[in-house]
Amino acid sequence: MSKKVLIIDDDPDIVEAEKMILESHGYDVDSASDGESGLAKAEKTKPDLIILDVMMSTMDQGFQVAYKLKQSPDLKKIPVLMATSVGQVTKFKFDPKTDSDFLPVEAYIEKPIKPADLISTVERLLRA
Amino acid sequence: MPDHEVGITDLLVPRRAELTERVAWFVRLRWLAVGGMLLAVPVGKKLLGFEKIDGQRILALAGALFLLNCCYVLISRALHRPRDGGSPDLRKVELFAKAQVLLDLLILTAILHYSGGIRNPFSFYYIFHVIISSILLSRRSAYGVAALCLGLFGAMALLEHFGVLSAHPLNALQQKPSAGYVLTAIMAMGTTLFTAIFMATSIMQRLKQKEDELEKAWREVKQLEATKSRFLVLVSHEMRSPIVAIRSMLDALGVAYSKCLGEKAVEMLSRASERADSLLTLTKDLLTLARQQSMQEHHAEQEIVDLAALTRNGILLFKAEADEKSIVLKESYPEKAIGVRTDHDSMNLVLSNLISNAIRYTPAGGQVGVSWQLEGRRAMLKVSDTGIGIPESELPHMFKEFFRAENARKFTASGTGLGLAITKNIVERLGGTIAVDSRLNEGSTFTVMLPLA
Repeated sequence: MSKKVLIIDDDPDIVEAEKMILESHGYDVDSASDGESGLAKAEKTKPDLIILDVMMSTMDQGFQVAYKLKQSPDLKKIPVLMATSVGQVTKFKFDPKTDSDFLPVEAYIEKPIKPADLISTVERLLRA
Repeated sequence: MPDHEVGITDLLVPRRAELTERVAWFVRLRWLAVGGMLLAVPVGKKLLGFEKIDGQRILALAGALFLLNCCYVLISRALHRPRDGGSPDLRKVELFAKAQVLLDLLILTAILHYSGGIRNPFSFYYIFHVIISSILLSRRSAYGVAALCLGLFGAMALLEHFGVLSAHPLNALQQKPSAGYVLTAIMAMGTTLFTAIFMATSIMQRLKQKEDELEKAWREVKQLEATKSRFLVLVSHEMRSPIVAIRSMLDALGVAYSKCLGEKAVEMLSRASERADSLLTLTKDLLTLARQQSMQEHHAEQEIVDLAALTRNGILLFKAEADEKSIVLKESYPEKAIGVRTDHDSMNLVLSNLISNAIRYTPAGGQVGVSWQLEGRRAMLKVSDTGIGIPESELPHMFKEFFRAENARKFTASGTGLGLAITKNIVERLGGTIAVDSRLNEGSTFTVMLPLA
């Protein structure tokens, strides 16, 4: 059975692009455009992996979603891949190397994500 | 902060500060005057033949001036550090300055009276007071001071002439001056004082006007610069998300539809994606530039960083790129640590811009050298390459925003022309300098000098 990936991102074009790449590699992809509906979908469909955008309507919505995912007993086992462009765009300093201790998501990847990188990261996380 | 900025802010010392500062001058000059008076009595008596000089009274006046000056020191301390911790009250400071001028003039007149009256050449000292007043006080007060000087001098001359005050000639040779001489002396004093004040106040007024204009212009420039930085941040921020989306979709198309699109279409897609990528690099560089410029205004947190250690670590990131082009990367460091006051991010930007440029513009098989040296109280970084070099005519433009040398454009399409502008900005913010030396087709050397902490 193909693996289920949930993309939580408020940019529909990014969602569609990622969806297209993942589907062409045989993944079953679902998406949500904000944190709240993303959490609800995760709860309902129990995906194998979640790709989470850091910046949605508010600057740290992605971080809050990550916290909630990792606090939920049902969902905390699901690997989370965080897509960031925070480091470059805002003055908000965030360094995955040092700050990942307090935000235990499984991987970070910088936008724009190259298709090959997306696939290899997703494969690595699902294998672990 | 670069030197030229310090110069401008120095010119723009608020007048409040200027007044209090000059009042401190008065006090210092007065100590000199007291010393001069103490010296004048024996010198006048023994060397100059003024045997009738009234030594006792002059020494008494010197003592009075000394005590007054002590009071001034105490008062000005109290004025500079008001109990409520605020800034000194400008009106009080001005009143204090005026009181000092008045008492000084009275003492000067008394000294003149006891040492020859109008025949004492030191009566020229009134001019000092008049000029200082026209610099410090308003035009009206300055004319008031001139009138007061003339009044005191004239009163002394006339009262001595008509015998109301007894004259104190300096020696037996000094005759009582004639009425004509007294009048001439008063006229000469009056015209000198008023001409001096007219000239001094009109020059001061023009200076103050220029100063105001300069301050206004400086504020406008600052504001424009801030607006520009804000605009840059906004534009690059707003541009980023659409470009990220464009690039993601182009890449997705290339991957998902590669089979039905055909080779040529996939190649075009990947070229489009590369162009989107260079746009992203541009927005990133613009953002860095704007941020560095705003850091200049709000001093970023700094610490002492060992640049040798920073470079040793940072250079590792370029090993792969150099290997790929079979470029030899040579490093050299002094034995001692290179401590410079900076922040890691800025210095990393300087190093990575210079090293990545050197690698980018050096053909395969070349050499790139990174060396740190200590030169007295400065650290010197040299990044040299055996690359394409820079035409001599383009050297002066190398650090301008968006500038790329013509041969560089031909050599590689990638590059925004912002890296060196950013680098120069950072180096100058840290109080250093950057220079480039290059020969076409032989290579370039960038030299950065930074003050050691």
